[in-house]
Amino acid sequence: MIPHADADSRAFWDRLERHELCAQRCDDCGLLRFPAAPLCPWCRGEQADWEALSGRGVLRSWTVTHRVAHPGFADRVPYVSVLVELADQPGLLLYGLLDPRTEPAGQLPVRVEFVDEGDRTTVRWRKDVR
Amino acid sequence: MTDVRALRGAAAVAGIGWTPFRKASGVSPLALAVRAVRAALDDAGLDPAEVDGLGTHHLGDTAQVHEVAKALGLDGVGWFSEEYGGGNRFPALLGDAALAVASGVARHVVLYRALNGRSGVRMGGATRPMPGPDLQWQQPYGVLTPAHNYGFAARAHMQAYGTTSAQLGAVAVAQRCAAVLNERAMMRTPLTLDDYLEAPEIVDPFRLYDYCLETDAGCAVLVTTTERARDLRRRPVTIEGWAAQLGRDDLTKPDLTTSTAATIAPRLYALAGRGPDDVDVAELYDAFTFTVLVQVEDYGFCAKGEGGPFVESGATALGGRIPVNTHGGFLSEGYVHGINHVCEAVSQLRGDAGARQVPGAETALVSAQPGYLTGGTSAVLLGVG
Repeated sequence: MIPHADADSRAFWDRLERHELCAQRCDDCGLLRFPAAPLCPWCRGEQADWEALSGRGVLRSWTVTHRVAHPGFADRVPYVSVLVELADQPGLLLYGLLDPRTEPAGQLPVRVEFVDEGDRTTVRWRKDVR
Repeated sequence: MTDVRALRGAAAVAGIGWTPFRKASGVSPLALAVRAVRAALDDAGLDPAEVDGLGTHHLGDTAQVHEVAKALGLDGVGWFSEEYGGGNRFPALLGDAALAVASGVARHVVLYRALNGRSGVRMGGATRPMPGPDLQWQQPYGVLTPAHNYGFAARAHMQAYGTTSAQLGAVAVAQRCAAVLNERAMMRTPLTLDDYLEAPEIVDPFRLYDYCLETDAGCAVLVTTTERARDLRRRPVTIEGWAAQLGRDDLTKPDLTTSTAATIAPRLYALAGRGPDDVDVAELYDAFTFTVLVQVEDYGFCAKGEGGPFVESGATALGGRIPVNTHGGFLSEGYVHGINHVCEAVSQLRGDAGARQVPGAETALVSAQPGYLTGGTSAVLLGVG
């Protein structure tokens, strides 16, 4: 179901299996970047370290899938996919699934959960009740 | 050439051609490509042996330029372009062809796009035709089809500006009205707003009629200098300006409610020496209804955030202030990945569009996919030679 990680992103997926949501922090300018990349898009520095994130963010947008042909998802409908902006740095965006108990809404604060299925770990987001 | 504006009107579209639009063509993409190319050459009255340039873009789903040259017995092709890429490419390719003929590198360039988009490689199915590292961030979360990517943008626009489903529906209804008048269109049954709203939700915020049509078809256009085009059979349609841009993709864009079209619009209008008020007809990339709504804003036909009320007012329908997708667009004519918008714009500027003709049309805007997913887009302004 998950396309293979590439050399740039392997550390992200490996850490996710240990239930750590991570992004690269540039050694030169100190900014975070996501998705995984071999170069900092802000200063073009090549050295970076993987760093655990807060796991908190807000919903920027979402879709509700009612019909889809993909064999991994066809029997899961309806499901809500979300675009989350992480609290750690403005503009740091990633996709995820929304916990079915959470009603989607614009700017909703959300918190990450980790879902282990088979040999894969993915993220799911739910309303942050902190 | 010291001033890029010297390119304004230097090249022209001298011929256009289509195959029928079908759900199952029963022939190969190569057959579709060569039929479309021959139709464009017949339209112009040009002998195939005169063709010395060929170009296309594709997602691994079409006949390559060397196959088309071989099939047509073309021995003199000295300029060719075959780009791996999707809906953001065609107007940029038209600009590349204009450069080639204006510089004298080629004399007669034929551009085509041919695909069995329904019976062959489907874009909305279980797999993406364009693989890449980006998919690892999307597929695990059910972000599987173009409708998902555009759906995130449409939802963001709805949240920011109060855009409604009925306003998306207004795009589908207006374009269907145009398609009813177009003998090539795949969908010619009238569509009401109630039909739109009652249709099944697929990937909310999109319902069935928000989607373009998976189509088996080929289209082609012949590009030459405007001077040479005047010696051919049809009235030249001039290439007045074009612009292309690689922009931020969906995970690096700060705001999904503005597309890369907003970035290229000023450059496009400056090169062509025309502005949005000069545009008589616009063929705007409509993979989904939403892309029309965001582009009428980003190309300056209305203010940012006003796209919903603008399309709902009838401004983009035939007879409206700026008729958009006068052939029915990808939503109702068929989806040939961008090129059929150029064919329709050329028909309109020649005054050949029959019952759907926009009276006195002299300037047409044709846009590509406005930059969702990968960030890239392109557009061209066409005029009357």
